[in-house]
Amino acid sequence: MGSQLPYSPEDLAVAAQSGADFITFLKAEKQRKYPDGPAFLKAVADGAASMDDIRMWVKDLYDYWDEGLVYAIGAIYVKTNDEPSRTHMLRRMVDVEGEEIVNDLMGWDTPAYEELWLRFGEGVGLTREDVTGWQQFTRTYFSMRTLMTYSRFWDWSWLDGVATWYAADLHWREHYTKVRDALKETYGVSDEALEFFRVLLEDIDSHIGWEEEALAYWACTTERQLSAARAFRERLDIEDQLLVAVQEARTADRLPFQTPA
Amino acid sequence: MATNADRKALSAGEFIELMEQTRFEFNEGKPPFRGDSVGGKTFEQIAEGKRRFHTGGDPNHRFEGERYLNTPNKEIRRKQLRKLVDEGGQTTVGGPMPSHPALARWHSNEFGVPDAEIDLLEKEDAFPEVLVKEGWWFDVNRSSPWPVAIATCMVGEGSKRLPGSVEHYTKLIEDARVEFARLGVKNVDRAVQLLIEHAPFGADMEHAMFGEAVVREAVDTPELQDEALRAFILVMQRNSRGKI
Repeated sequence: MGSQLPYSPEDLAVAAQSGADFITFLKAEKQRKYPDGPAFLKAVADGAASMDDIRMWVKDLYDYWDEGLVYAIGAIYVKTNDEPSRTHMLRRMVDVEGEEIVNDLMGWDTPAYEELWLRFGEGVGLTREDVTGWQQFTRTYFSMRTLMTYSRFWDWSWLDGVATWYAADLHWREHYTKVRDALKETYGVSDEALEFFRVLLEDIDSHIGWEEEALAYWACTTERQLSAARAFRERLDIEDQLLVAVQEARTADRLPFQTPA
Repeated sequence: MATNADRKALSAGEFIELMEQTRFEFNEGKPPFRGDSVGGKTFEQIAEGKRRFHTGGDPNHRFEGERYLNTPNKEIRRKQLRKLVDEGGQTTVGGPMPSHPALARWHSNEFGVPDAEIDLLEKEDAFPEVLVKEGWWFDVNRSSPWPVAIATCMVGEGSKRLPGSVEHYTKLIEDARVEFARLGVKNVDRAVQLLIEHAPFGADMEHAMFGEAVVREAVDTPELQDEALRAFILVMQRNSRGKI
């Protein structure tokens, strides 16, 4: 729920879709709103972005992987009282914060997304200080903070949150696969530096199934479907907005606003 | 005359000692360990207690999750996540131990409360007293400075560090095994597993040491120490059945 009027009795009198139809509807919404995905990712996938553009993207998105996504996922977890869903969410928190957290229990050593992103940055010629010292574009910052606050407070319910994870997973799976392939084939980035993409895409494959099951089961009323579908679209908007400024930076004469130091 | 600006924080050791002295006085010298006593109760009385426990749902992920979200310190936050894995289920990552809510169900199942009934109870309104106790508990973990939020674990988990704790819980579990068997519980191992998890030889001991480490390293100003001690007392009051 953002600032929209509440759904009326007439809106809610419409019968709910079946679970399977609702999932199909969400996928269609993604295609309807963003058939091509963010322009920046398309430029990378098409080999049209420069290495400097890619370096700027790495710097500008670090806070998202380091803080925004971590917080947003934890915020939905806290709201979730369905234990099977919550268990998957906890697994995702371990994915994002680094499987090495349970090294004592499982012997795993995959680090956090933010660390893998830093290594990606090093692989394209940046130092860690280049990345962590960057003042984020304001548009990117606003997008990240919106994700955090909507995940945290009443704007999104726990089930809305699942819909937003599903949106992000569909978005990443489609576009980051193409981007990874282009980074390897067109830009010559090493496999080692691209570990972030391997880990992210494998994690998506392990989560998308339960997200669909949860949405098909729990979004069983018209109101829940309307609410979850809106949150799904809002997450697609956020993922797109996160990349507007880097696209503007590579195509306009001057840099967009950046956050104050 | 000393002003607030002149105040200095107690050393970590002095503050821990103050917490323990406060605990001792609050408990009027009695051991602070949880009872979980089953002695003298019938099978049905234990089952009723379990039904009350499940009514309104399990809060574990909420207060532990609030502590996680509250913590901007990456190292501490990740240790809190490791704790969440212990309590939210090592099975999440392929480990052996189910979540604490699942273990609570094991106990109830063995006392004749099936999962279907627990599902219904977890959808019920919480008891009014539980509502406000838990409401405050979520708030203190959500709204306090993160060192204070994590320091609140010194009441329950933190008590497991104290002398006599291992002996107390060893006997508690041994007694429970005997009593549960006498009452006709079919799978005593399942029935006592949550007790074991809460004992100082289960995950709780590591959690207790984590809590103490946070107090030592991060509750380091007069203001934080005041707030942590106030929260510590309020948690003890919250945990005192029938006294608030």
